Amino acid sequence: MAQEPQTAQGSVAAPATRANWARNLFVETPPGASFPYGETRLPRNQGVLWHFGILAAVSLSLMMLTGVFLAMNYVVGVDPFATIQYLMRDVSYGWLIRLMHMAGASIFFIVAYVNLARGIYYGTYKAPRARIWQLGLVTLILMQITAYTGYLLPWGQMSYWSTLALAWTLGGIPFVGHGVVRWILGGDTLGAATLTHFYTFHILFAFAVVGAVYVHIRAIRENGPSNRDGVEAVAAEDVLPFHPYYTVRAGLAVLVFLILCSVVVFFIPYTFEHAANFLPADPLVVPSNIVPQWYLLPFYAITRCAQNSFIALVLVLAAWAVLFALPWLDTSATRSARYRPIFRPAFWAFIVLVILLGWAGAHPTTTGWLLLDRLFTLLYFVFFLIVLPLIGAIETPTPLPVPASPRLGGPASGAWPSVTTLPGTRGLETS
Amino acid sequence: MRRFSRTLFAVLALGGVSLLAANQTARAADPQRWSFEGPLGTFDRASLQRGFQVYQQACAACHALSHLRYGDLEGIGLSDHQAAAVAANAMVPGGYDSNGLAVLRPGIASDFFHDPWPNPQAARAASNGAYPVDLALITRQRQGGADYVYRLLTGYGDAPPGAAMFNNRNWNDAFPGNQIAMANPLRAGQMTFADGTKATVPEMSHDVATFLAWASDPSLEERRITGVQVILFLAFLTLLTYLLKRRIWTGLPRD
Amino acid sequence: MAGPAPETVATGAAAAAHHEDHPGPRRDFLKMTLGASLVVGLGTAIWPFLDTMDPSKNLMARTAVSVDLAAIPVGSGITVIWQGKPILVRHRSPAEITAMANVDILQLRDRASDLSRVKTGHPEWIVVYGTCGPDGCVATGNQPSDNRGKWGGWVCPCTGSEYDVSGRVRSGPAKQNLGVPPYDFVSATKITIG
Repeated sequence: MAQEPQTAQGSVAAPATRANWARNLFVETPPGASFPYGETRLPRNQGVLWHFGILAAVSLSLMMLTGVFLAMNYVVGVDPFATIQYLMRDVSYGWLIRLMHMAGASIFFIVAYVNLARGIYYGTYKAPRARIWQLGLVTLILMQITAYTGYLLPWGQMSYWSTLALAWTLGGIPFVGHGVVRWILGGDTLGAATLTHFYTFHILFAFAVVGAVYVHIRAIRENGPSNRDGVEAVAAEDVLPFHPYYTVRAGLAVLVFLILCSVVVFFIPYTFEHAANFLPADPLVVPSNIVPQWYLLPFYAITRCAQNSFIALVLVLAAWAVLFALPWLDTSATRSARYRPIFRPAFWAFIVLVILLGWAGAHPTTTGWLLLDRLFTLLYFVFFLIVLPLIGAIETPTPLPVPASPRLGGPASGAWPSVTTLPGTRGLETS
Repeated sequence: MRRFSRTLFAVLALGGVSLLAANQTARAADPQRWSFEGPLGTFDRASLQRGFQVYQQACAACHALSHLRYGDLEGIGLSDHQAAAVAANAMVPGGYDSNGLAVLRPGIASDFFHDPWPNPQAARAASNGAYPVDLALITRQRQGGADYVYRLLTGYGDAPPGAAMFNNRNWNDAFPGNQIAMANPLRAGQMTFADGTKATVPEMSHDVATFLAWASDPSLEERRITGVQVILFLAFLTLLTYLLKRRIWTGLPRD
Repeated sequence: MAGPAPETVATGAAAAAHHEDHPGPRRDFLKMTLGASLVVGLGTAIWPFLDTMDPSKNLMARTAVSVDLAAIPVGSGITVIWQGKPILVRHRSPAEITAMANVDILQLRDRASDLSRVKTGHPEWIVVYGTCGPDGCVATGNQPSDNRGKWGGWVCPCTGSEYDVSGRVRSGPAKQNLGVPPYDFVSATKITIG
């Protein structure tokens, strides 16, 4: 075999400018060419967590597949609650596709959030991959809108009231807020018009998610895959061909993931559902505690901090804005938390904080919980706006491994040329 | 903050008081073992059929069981003829006669269970203002599921001395607030089971709770069987893929 | 294959070559088994999805309509819908019954006796599927004013096939008689179809 790859990244293109990147996207490289399977090389130091991208793609595919067949059986009509029961009881295998879709939404969000946390921990959002990170966030926003609109469709008590509660967050838009909410809902409260709107939104945004994922993957392709050490692969020794190595490894990950999904769908499908959502929506009876789906809870908690709906809206937009600005808020030149002794505990504190935020959001707005809402929201912003930049300034990272070193599977000599000439290595000069 | 600590104190105090109260009024509600418990549980057919009889004789006069069709009763072990016979005993709306008047006809297997009320107002008017809830999804709607149904049906008793009872309310240990509009629907020996089981109140409560758990989730057994098959198949695929993966990755230096 | 291969350095390309160099028989067997299992698994998994679009089998098996016969005058008929399909119910006169019973079966294109197409004891009632063509055409002839064709039964407006009052094809392109749906008499004047 005389094949000698000249560059480690296989066919990764030279760094693209913003303009030609956009043009490349659809014109110069057709979608089919976006994943040249045979010649793709992946860094050997990708960890197990890098599978979550593929798992998210599998989740999305299953959601689209079950969604299509649900859409064919769901009746957008006067009694949507009975439609779900019809699906569960009368349609052949209706229970299966419905439970797959219902539990699948939560599974999809678990996978997406692990993917997101992975990005933060290993600093994969740093140059040149800020675009990948931001496209991932766009995907997540579209996912949340899709899930939010979809949750109304069973027309249970919790569907009804959490949809109404969250819709009025938009009421905080100055001057036109009320009109915007009325326009989205088709009324001041939820009715048949809302259901038709949300059914359509749900399908539209689901396809928007597919589009966003496609662009996200394209960006990964063009900026090169990240890895757990945060150093760029420079030599043939640093990478492995996607096929057969990662084909079989990802296949294994997908199968294990499917087994876990099956356990949820077939044995504990109602884990993520509120008991109140088995009651048909009743506009006259408010549930004792309105709780949105768990994956929206941290943001829901943030919106609850302020009584003023404008401030609430600003807060939740700011919460997203700091995520988008993360590549610049994190000032450290070292990417991976494996080499950042202070960032590492701070990251875990942040994860605990987000869980606490969701936990507070799941409780009624009594004085005590509201206080916790506000405390955790404050800490959320403190983490991004103060702690992260500060850590970058005071932290001394531990030495990074040299690419193509024995650690990464290369020869023992370690005498390799400068890494700075390859794409995606900016920021390494200083460390 | 002071309000928060006051609230916290009040919650703790209330919890303590209600615990004490519960100790005083607790009745023998030994934990129930359900045939459908656990990841591989299936519904006990005999219990389901007794439970259906309890529903028919003690509940159906007031409580609807919507979304269910008579033919679904094949799921509790009735034959299609038996299910059709149950249906034929119910009179369901049968369209209009040649004079344009609404008529009733005997039910058939594809008919939904008979709703005892023409509308919610009629239901309230006949039930002291309280709406007799639809039982089709009751074990999903209530915390505790079948256990709650069992505790509720066995939880009737005399109000503790000094309790301020509302009009037309009955004391029940399991009901939130303890004052329930529904009078105790079960008396020992009020029905005769064909299989000779003695119709005690706990027995009837257990059986009807089993039946209602089935009514909430009739695909449970099919779901679990399918799940076992799917997982076994995936495990087989995983094993093969693991072997292939080990083979392909063998010989590479460790990271 | 126990223990690592002798190479200590496996570069990206060399590693790719490495596994191609030793295609052990066991791996081929593995790959074949895995591939076949995947195909079987995907094929099986797609079935529940497609099946959701089928009419619910349980529901279809259970649907039934009851028809009150008392209001149908002799010589006339009605059309009812059962499982989305038209069903013709016709009240035959004694003359028609006799005529149908005396038809020479051997002359028929689709041989069937009148007796086999009605319920015992109720020869005055004939109940057949109204669908007379592959495209879902519905036969006419229930009303006395309709064109009933030469044989006095029904005519298929799409193909021109003519049926006698037992629902048997007598002329035209049709090859088969009108089918008899499952039904039972619940009383002398009432049937349940299904």
